[in-house]
Amino acid sequence: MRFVIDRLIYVLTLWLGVILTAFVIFQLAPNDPARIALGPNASQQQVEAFRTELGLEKSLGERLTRYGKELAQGDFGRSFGDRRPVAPEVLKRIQTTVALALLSTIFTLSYLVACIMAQLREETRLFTSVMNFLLTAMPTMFSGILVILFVSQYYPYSYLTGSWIRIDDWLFLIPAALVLAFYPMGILGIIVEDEIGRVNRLGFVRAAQARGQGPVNVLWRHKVPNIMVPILATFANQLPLLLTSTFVVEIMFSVPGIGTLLLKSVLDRDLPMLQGILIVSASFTLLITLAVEAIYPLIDPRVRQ
Amino acid sequence: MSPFARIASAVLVGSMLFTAACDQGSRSKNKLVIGLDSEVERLDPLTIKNPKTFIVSWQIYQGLLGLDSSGSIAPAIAESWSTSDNKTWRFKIREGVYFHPSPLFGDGSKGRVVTTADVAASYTAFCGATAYPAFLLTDIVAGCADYNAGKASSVSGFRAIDDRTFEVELLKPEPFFPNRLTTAWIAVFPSEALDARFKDKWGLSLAVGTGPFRMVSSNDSEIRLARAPAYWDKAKAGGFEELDFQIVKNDTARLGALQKGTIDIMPAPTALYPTIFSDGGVLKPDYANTIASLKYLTFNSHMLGFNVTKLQDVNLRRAISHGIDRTRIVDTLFYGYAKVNGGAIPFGMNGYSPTVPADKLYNLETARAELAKSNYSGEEIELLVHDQAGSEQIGELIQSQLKQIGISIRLTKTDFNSAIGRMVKGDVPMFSMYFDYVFSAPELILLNMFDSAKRPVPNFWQFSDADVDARLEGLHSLPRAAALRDSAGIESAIVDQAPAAFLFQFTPVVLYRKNLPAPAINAHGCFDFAAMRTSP
Repeated sequence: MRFVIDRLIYVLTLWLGVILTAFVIFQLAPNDPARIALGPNASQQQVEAFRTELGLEKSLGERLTRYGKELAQGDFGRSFGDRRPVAPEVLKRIQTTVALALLSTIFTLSYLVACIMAQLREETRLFTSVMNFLLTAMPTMFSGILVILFVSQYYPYSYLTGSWIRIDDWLFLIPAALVLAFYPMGILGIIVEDEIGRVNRLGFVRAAQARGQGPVNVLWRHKVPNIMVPILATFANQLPLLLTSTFVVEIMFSVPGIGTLLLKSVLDRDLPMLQGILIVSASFTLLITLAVEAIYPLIDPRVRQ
Repeated sequence: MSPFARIASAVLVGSMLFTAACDQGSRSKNKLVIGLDSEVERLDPLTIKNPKTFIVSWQIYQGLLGLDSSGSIAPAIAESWSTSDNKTWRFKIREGVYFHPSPLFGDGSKGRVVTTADVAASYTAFCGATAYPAFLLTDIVAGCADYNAGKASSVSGFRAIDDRTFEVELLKPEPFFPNRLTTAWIAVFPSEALDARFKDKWGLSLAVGTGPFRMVSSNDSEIRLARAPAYWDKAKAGGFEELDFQIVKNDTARLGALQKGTIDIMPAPTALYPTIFSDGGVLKPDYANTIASLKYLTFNSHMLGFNVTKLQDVNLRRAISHGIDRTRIVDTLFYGYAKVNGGAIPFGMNGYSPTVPADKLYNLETARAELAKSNYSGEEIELLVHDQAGSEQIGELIQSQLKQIGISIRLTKTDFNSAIGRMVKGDVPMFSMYFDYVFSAPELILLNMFDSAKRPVPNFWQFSDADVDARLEGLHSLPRAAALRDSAGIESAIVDQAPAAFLFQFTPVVLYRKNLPAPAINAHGCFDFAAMRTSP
């Protein structure tokens, strides 16, 4: 219980620190959001009037206090660009990003299972070894472009309709999710290879084989439980990276998720939107980290103690 | 075969059968699918700033006036307009113009007739402090500037005389005032849209206008419009019933979709020009089998701007202007899809004839002669370029061309919004910029861009000349024909002082399936999809 409370306090402190740091950095960044929102033709008087309306002429402390009060009431503010409420926009986009990340995770876990099964035979072990190397060596920008070139010619699902009811939308996400999954797949595959190699030399594995247990049985009942902790640790490390990698993949594949919104908000100096994105993304990342940390004790009794 | 291989094979075959079985449905012949390269902004006329959004918004919204494909003012919601003194203008709203059915008007099953109260509410909103197009009205409509500054609660210059007569009073006579209203930026929308109840939905899930199409649904990937049942222009009946705007950001994927037929029409991005065009600007055979192209003239003009307070030497500015081979820039970067224009006024403004001959612009002898007269001593001059419209490539070509005559240029690259910020601040001597002029009259361009009262924005070059100012003021009191002639003289005087090296006017290209008729596009770049028939 004390452990849980300690972790919660730690995560909350981290969360507040991220928001505060980001707020200060965004507010101190050069360029005038009011000028960007009103465009190059607006007179200086118009821009000054808009700055007053946005509260940009107030001191940093006053802006932070106001923002904190609004945030406590669940108000993430309004976009500088077109005055739309930030919270619904960010939450709508994060759903798409989460869908992409989930699909990518499914691909990653499926590959993980395939890699584990591939350890049963020398030929498949070699094949996955080469695949793991290629998957980790290819940067996302490169593999994404290759996939786009292929997809644009041969794949029928070129665009998202946004309904999520039609199967087309989910099929549209497959190439993007695959590209996103390449690196985690490769890394986990390498971990599986190394850890299975380590565990193979341990006595209890030979003992199980000597008792006449089949290779599949030995693999799943004895080897896999003993490699789950490093796999889980690697997987946990990959999850935040997965979220940030979605930004690049979304832009490449025109997926309207949090990444494309982030890029647009940065270019438009849309500070409320940027802050909203950061808060939601940081929250997700910390929650995922907390959840994964909670799973360790379930897998390894030594951690429980 | 091992169990693993059996499972993998079954999954693969099953996936193939499944995806093959997924039927996207045969597309209705009455639906036109348009591919866009970026997300559409919020469809609120007050906040639209990206001209790329007009391809959608102009189907939903209309203004009092429009522009036809020849560049002439065309009636839209207003069927006629008149003035006796060029200072007070009366617009007659045509009968039978309805807003699209919407929850704004009750249960959503019916529309509502447009009245002058809506025009007054819309135009007043355009004078507001947060309205992007406010600059079109604040310097000319009586009371608009005060309302914009929060000093008044209404705009005294807007008056609804009766349900169909709307009056605008100006601060001073302006014979070309209607040319401010032809842009897609100034649209009429229902007064109910300003109600706090609809504030968070307006422009997102609700967009109601008087245009030929009404919004059915909108998200970040797709905007669907359907033909408005009570649209007033019966001449445009009988065409496409649905428009489907699909956002496909990746240019290659979008072009692939066009070739496959899942998209019918798309503006061609300049990044794809080397892929689709051979030298000479002709579509390559691989694409010409299924796709046709159409180029159209807009008021999109590119220039190399000078801050004349930082680059005060007029001989140096003239040397730079004459040292730029504009034709080479157009041929190299745009495959000929741009029109060299050495003047401040774009081609296509109805009634106006450009005075600066394009073939006299690039002249190395003149450039060297001007440079010899200048005080230039070889120092690097900073040129600010940005990430849009080929600005960086244009800057690189100019840098290499000016090196030939001994002018040294240093490129500074930044993003577009930062470039605007630096231009407005005036801390850079040269900048590469383009303007999508929203005015459709040369007088308005000259008044806005070169009047010294308009410094620092939008007179970014900080140009100031008392004689030019006086002549610009005089345009207000001249008859239209005389104003056009004098505009030509003013333009010559301005270009002689070289506040910018005016480069070219972009002629964008639209790609469309060969089985479709070519779309009609006006000089503001607004596509008339309503007039397109479903087959040639």
